[in-house]
Amino acid sequence: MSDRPDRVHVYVRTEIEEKVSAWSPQLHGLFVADWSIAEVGRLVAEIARAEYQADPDNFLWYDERIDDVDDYHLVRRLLMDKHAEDRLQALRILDSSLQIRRQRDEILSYPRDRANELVIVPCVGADSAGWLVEQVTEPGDAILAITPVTDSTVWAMQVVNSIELSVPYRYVTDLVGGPETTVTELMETPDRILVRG
Amino acid sequence: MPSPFPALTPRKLERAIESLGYRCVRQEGSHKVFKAPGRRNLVLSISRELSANEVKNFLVRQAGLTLEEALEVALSV
Repeated sequence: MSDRPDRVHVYVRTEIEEKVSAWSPQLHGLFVADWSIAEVGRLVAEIARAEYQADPDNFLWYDERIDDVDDYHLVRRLLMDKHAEDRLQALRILDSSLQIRRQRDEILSYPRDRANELVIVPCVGADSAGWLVEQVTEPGDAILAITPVTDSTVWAMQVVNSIELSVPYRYVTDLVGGPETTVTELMETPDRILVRG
Repeated sequence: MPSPFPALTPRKLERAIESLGYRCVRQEGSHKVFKAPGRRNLVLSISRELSANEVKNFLVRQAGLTLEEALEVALSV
């Protein structure tokens, strides 16, 4: 686990009919729902200051979109930072890869999280393992980190809070670089599951 | 496949969490604070009906219920 306290991650989700809602694992119990991203962002910031004594200027803001897949949801979680365009490109390549039967079957076979969602997090090479595990705060949390390797294929690693599987996995604390290990470095390991521990 | 969760108005959502023992202890502008013995505090700012997925997302991710518990609570109101 990272030595520093978790940063505040705020997930802003847009559904059909422009319904927007937001929550954060670090702002315990908070749930905001309104009609626009701007209004939801304003409300989250206002409540964070008033109820959590938190500074929204330091938050990590994400844009989430969901699709129905069979009996669950596929969630695309995009961090709105200086690499947002690269992350968006990773999602475009993911969409291309989902057209390839073998890759589609592999990606959609990853276990869903406690809300029965498969949460996809597009990464850039410089992203850290610490940032990834900060997004799995409770038992049953899981995300799928992806980054492009070609124009039509992606590398994927499951990141979970805890593990009960008999498959190769690695605790973030066991990484040589610890939570500062980059996605580029993770891609060089044989492990396909990263555990917060 | 349609979600088994219902869409809920803000009032019905409040009734759902009240069935878990929550009571509104404070309202500040746009949001309400709910507390229940032995459970995490909830801070809600909801101005419209929640979709089925939003109901599930809130009850599981922020109220800390399992999917099964969340569905039972959502269907009880």
